[in-house]
Amino acid sequence: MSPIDASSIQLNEEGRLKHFLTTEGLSREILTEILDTANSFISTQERSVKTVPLLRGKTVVNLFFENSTRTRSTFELAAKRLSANILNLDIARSATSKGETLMDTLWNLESMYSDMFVVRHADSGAAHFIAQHITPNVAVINAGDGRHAHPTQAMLDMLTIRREKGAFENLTVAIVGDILHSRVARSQIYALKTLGATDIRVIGPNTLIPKDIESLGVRAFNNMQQGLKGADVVIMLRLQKERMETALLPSESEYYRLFGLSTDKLAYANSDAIVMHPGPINRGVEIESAVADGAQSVILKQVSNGIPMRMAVMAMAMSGQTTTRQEEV
Amino acid sequence: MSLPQPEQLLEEMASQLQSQYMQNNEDILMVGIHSGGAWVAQELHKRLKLKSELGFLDISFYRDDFTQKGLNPQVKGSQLTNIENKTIFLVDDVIMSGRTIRAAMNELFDYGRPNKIVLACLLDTGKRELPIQADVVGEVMNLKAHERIKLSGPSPLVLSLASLSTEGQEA
Amino acid sequence: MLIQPQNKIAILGGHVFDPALGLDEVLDIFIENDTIVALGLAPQGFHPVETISAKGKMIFPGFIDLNAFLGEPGFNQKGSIASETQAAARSGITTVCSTPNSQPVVDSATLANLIQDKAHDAGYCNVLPIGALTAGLKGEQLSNMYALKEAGCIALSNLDNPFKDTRVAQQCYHYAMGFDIRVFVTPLDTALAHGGCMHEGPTSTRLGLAGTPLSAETSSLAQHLILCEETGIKLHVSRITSERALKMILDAQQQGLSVTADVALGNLLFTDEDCLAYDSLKHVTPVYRSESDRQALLKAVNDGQVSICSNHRPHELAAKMAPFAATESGVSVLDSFANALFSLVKSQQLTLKAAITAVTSAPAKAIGQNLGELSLEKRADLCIVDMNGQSQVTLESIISKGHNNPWLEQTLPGKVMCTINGGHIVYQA
Repeated sequence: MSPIDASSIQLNEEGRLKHFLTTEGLSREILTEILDTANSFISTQERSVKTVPLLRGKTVVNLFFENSTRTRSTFELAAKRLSANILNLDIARSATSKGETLMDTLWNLESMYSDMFVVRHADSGAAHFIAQHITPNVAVINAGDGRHAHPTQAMLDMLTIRREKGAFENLTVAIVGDILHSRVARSQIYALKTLGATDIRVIGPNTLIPKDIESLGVRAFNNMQQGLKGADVVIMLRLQKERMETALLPSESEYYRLFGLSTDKLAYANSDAIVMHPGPINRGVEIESAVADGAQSVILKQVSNGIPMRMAVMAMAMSGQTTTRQEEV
Repeated sequence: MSLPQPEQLLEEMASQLQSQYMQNNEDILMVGIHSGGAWVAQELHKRLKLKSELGFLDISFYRDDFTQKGLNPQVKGSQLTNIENKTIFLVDDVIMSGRTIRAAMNELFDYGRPNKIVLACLLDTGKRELPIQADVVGEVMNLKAHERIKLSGPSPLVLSLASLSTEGQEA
Repeated sequence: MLIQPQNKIAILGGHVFDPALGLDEVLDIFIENDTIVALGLAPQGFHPVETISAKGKMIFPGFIDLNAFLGEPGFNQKGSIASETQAAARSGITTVCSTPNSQPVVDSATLANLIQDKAHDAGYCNVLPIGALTAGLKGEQLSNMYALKEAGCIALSNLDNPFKDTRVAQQCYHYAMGFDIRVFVTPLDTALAHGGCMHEGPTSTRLGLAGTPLSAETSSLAQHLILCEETGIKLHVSRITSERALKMILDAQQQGLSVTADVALGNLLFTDEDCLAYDSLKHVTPVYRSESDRQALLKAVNDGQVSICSNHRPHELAAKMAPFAATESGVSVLDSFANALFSLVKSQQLTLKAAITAVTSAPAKAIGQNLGELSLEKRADLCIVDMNGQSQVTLESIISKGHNNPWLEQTLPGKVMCTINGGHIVYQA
């Protein structure tokens, strides 16, 4: 009954995307198709009328078990620009501490004829679980599950890299910070590998680098000078303050001294390296303001690529659901 | 059935457009629909010596068969300058059901309000499903139910006839 | 089910296989009341009430399971003593050591007696309760250890619950030693485990699930072995998961400590990689570890160093209907225990001799019971198995109340034809 791995239920019989749960296990063709589709949505975002009628009559439910106004808003805007109806549900984690309640929530929403769930949940594998148990023909988009995956964020980062660097071949990419707790880093690593980046590195203290990270095909560094040498892309991750309280880090100041991206540390990377950050930024904790706002920073471009990327995966997943359950009136 | 030469049709279309729609000193913008319509538009643009830049429409995001057929992975994207108050020469290769033209016009209106839209098509194969007619047509052909006509290009432009087993292919 | 007293049973033509006694031949078995009265030739004037033809089948001593949760009292939706022991009987199990984590916890003689009474009434298996080592399994105060022993508890354990501190464990061991009480321990340093729900390794990194490091097992085991050495207690290490832990136990035995160990059947079949796809039926406590650990544990069974237990944890459907880490851990094993064990024999990962030893004489020794042998004047606990048969596992066919059987919709080798517990036929296919 169970598929071989977490990725296979994302594709329909024709091998096209029907859920978007993780970048792991998707082919280069599909990832490229996602990037191409998002790229063409960029042009629609530059018009005076930014909506297209692709998802007219469809109902998209933003199912957020973990609060994230930023991510939720970009999905909301993306759905609206595809002409879908959108329902926002912020469900406190406490209300669904039991599995039954999560399933009850789902069944309730299904009976309202939703066509797509955008799910954010604190448990790794939650979006996968929902995709496995949901009515056929309802698409599930993972908007972040625990430490596991945040595929739309990773793909908008890939779109940003491709628009800045042209291609992924021969690229050296360094991901810096709390790799252990980062769903973004995992999704980025899989996408980068599949798209052909040659040298992927993670940089951080050992306490924030998960065991056997090398098995994902990356090299780990404890030192910015070595890790950033020759990098074309530097991705900074957000550091949660609570890491200081759980015996993972000594202090903010020591972290910043060793791993904060300052102007002088950025100089270790290639001179045309771009600096990225999934946001929100902790200025002075993981990145210096002068770098975040500097010429090499593409952080704001990442933000603007967020909408077309989410439009792309929503449109693709909806079309991958073969038949229409809800007829347009 | 012998198929017409696109070259001859283009000449006729260009002269029709010239004589019927370009007498006034109107602000004209030519827009081709990807892919075949874009090739035809390129040829007409050359022949009519239009000064304004040629525009392109990719109607993938406006198709009404999206839920059945899915998104075209090779979306090329639309490239249009300001269309406000312009006369649009909307160009496609083959008009059949009329659905492509409906989608194209919907998209055009998302860019602004044109003054006038003139529709020019290389071939009209009938079989209309919507009340949409071309103003300028290279040639009208009546196809059998299973027949479809296809334009390949961009150079040279060649028409070919294909026999389809599955219904519903839009041209 | 009502049990008819079957005073005299003859089992004819079966291939009797008992590694502890070196029996490996076709022999007739004769049972009177609850005892084996003859092997080979029928006693004079023996007139069986029931005759079972076991031609082409194998006869093993009844299996002994050192670790099964029966759900009663307190968890009616997960299992009852009757349902779970019936499931055990269909797997050829005649003795079950029940875990103390019921509601209320088995920390009093009343509870220990209740469980044995209910098991006796149900009549499927001989249930030997494992009592709680600390009051309420809270790891703070000693339970009424002597009363529990007196009430029939075969051993005491804190199961998967941590001790408040190492001194509590030390004092439990000291006290237990004075009354010759056996202790079961499942070593886990909960601080090091840090909420881990699977083995820490490449797969947990891929899935973004919190991993339990090996050190969570081994550092705790080291402490318990030192306390065992200090107090001289009889320690049984229950459900070991790693090669490293195994080596520590063998070293301790070399030093002359009274230490035995078992491994959960699942840890011989599955590894951390089976958790891919977030299959909640691979969410278990203790966790499935790496392939090299699995191989080391298989070797230990083949070398006769450890017993095999079911680690049976039946759950209702809803308990497993959630994202991986949020589900309740454990799987329902008893229905398929024998078949899953035979699958290891069929795939030549275990020898038949080792597999049978690990579920008969080895666990009998670990709990110091005169069980698990097919010899004269011994209690007639045995099972008859068609090794060439097979068993299909379906939701309709399972007896356990637990829906969380990891072999659902699979066909496993071997078919238990009959189980006899204390001279009574308690299961017949």
